[in-house]
Amino acid sequence: MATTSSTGAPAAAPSLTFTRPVFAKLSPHPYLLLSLSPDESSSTRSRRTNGRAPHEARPIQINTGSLSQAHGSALVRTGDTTVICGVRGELLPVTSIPQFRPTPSYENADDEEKARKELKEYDLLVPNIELATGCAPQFLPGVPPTTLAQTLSTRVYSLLHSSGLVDGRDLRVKYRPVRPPQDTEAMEEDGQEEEEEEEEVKAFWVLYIDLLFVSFDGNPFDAAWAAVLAALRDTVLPAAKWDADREMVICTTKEKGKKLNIRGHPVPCSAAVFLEKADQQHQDKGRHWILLDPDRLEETLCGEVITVVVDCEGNETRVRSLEKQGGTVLGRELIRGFVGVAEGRWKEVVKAMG
Amino acid sequence: MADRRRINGPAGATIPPVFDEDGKQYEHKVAKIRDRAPTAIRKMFLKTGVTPSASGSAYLEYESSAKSGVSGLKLSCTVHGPRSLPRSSPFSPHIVLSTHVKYAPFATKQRRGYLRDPSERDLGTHLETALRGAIIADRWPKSGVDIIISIIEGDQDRETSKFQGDETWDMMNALSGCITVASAALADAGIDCVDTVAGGVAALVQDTSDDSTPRIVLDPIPSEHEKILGACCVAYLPIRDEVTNLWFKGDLPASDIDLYTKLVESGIQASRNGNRVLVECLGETVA
Amino acid sequence: MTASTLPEAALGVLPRADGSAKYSHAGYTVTASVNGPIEAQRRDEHPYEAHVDVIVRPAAGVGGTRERHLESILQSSLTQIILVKNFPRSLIQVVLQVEDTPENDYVNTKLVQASLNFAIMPALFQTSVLALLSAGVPMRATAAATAVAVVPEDGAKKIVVDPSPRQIEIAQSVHVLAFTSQEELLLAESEGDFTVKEWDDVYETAQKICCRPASTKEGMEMVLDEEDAGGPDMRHFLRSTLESKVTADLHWK
Repeated sequence: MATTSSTGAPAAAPSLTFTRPVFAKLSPHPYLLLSLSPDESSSTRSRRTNGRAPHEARPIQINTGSLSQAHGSALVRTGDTTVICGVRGELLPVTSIPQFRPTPSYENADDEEKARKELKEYDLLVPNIELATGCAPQFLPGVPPTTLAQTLSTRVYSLLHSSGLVDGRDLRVKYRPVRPPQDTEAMEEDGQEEEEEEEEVKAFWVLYIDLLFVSFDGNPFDAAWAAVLAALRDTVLPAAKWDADREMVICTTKEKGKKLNIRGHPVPCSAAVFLEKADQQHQDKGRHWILLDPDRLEETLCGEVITVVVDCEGNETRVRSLEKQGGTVLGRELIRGFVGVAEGRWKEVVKAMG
Repeated sequence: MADRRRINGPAGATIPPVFDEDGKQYEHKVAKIRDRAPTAIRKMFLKTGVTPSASGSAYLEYESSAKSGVSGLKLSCTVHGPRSLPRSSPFSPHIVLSTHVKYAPFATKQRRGYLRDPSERDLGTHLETALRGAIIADRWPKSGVDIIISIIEGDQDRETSKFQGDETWDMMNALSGCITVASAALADAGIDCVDTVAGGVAALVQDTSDDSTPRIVLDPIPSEHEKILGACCVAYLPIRDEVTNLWFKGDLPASDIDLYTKLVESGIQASRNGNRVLVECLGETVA
Repeated sequence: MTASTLPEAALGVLPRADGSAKYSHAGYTVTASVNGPIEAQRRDEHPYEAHVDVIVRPAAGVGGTRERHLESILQSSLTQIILVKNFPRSLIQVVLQVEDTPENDYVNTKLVQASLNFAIMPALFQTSVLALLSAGVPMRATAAATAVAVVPEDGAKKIVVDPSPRQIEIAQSVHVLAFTSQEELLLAESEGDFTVKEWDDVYETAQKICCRPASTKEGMEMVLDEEDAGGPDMRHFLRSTLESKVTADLHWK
């Protein structure tokens, strides 16, 4: 390999040699290319600059419940990417919802479907990603969220809703009105007891899902989503009741809190496509490598990226989201094959989640 | 106006949960007694190099108190630089420190917004003063260094209600932690300092459980005491025996000069203890 | 759905821009302007290629995180088809103004929603490609996009092209796929719940729409043929739009 270390260079030869980090900084593309395509003669396999094989992801480590101020929390580490997620519930009384309709027009839909629409319509899930924590040299605080941070927040938001991860029924705070005694007789005569006792929704829990990157080394979405998933599974909302006299929701620590019912285990798997020729203008594309779980250096060198979110809980693998953009290498066959890679990653992540 | 660059959630205001036990908090309070000796500080965990892509970084965690629901302070610090100042900034013969302290939204009882509030700016200014005295600034003319601290979890009791005014005292503990963690991160970044600076807090507290004479404790947890009369946060360089930043707050009789000196001395004592952890951690990294 | 099924487009609608286009289909109307190559701002300047800047403005209100996401998707796709290496250190700016979106009688539409809007993506995509062509920006290929939804119907699943907002509401999965004129998959965005097999079917449907081989049939037969396929022929549409524009421009000859 041409990446000889400067210390090993003979003093007689005036050839210019660089250390690996200098080479990586000066010309990253040839550096990665060289590493991926070893000499024909040598027996070394194709390796990335971080020592991984092209289809090798970094091991994932997930800790939950380490924060006590949040209602649910998770810390996810994959290689040098570290992200913390905190979930906190706050209450939204229905009186503060501008267009609240106690019986929405889609009443024919079943309750679960209705709850799902409530989530979206009243915006009960609020994910935000903070990258400006100095987690990498390009993310310094004092500036508004970058396009990357905004895109990530949107992707997490979209996936939260499209995957139906959170059961909207868990977020309702209901109240069964107590009939005043004088009305009781009158109502009993009319035989309308059941209608009187119908529960009404008085408030909703709003879940603020905040993600903080402590360290950033590529593939932020996979780490962020794993943190969201683990934190939501860890979330316990305090037991809440509507106090009719005070007209507000009162929580209690005497009763056990409510654990959120999280449906499914959608796990994302991302990869980037590295092309032999940085110049993409020609028809002849040359060789390419699909790099699973790319790091920061690889992300800057790859244009085409793919993220597949799969859930292998049932008999059949369900794809919950697929995003591919920025290139034309990944066609139908490669994407189909990539779903298989994502299944493998799913097992690893779910195992780490415990 | 709502922030267009973030996801803002519902248009109507959301309310943090209100607990029915709030009124009874005073009775519970007596039960929370400090079990450490007055001169002992909490155990600390300090680690450098948590953010490999930064020039230097460190993570600090205080042992959480025995009582459940009280979190230990958790801080993460990254240092970027020294690097050249932007072209637009004026000439500086020494290094320009810019400090940035931010609470994570989930760090405290009340959810924090994403924009820095005055108390966070205040912490940043105090931190800058504390570090400026330690860094050999004229080694890097025309350069700047960014010191960024994220407070992942504050030093607060989840169940304590807000009206007790804990937050001002919490800020002192936070500042002390910020100074220590920033010092470790600066050392990790290889920025020359005259000495390792560490923070320490001492407070004059009054508990009803003992004979109600005020006493001085190191590293106080506000929720463990009935009343805090005054506190000070000291940033101290042990080898040079110098204080780089002193923050004193409270309501003390002006006549008793001795008390002030004693409180500062106790703060220095707390800082020395913190410094031992710091030096030990840095020693491990070098070894 | 009452919106016309055939797309409509006009080129050069904005006299002051280098290139512009107006496109409406499936209830969406988008106007785009393209300026470039122009001088890039220092922070956007790239030493070897042109920077493609995409700005999406919603029909009402100001853009939020969702618009940023749409912009980043479009930007990465357009960078692939524009010959960006021909214009180092310059900027090609694409501004997309959404003018009209289909009315939704069922859902209480909020002005600011962070969720990704799949149905609007093909309209944005087509408009930007047309506007780039109108501006004469050199491109490696043209491209076309389409939205497809898998909707449950009487127990079976049905693939719907250009779904209405109501259909998206009840759909099991929604997909947007874009193909270049060389029949390469340029962009694929899907959400919902689907299997690889379903995605395959969606892929085939979308490919038919975006890159149907040039038909030998002409005129009326062509139109009839479209009815069968259940969707417009995007490649043909792009071509005929341009042809009519060129004919109109060269009319004085």
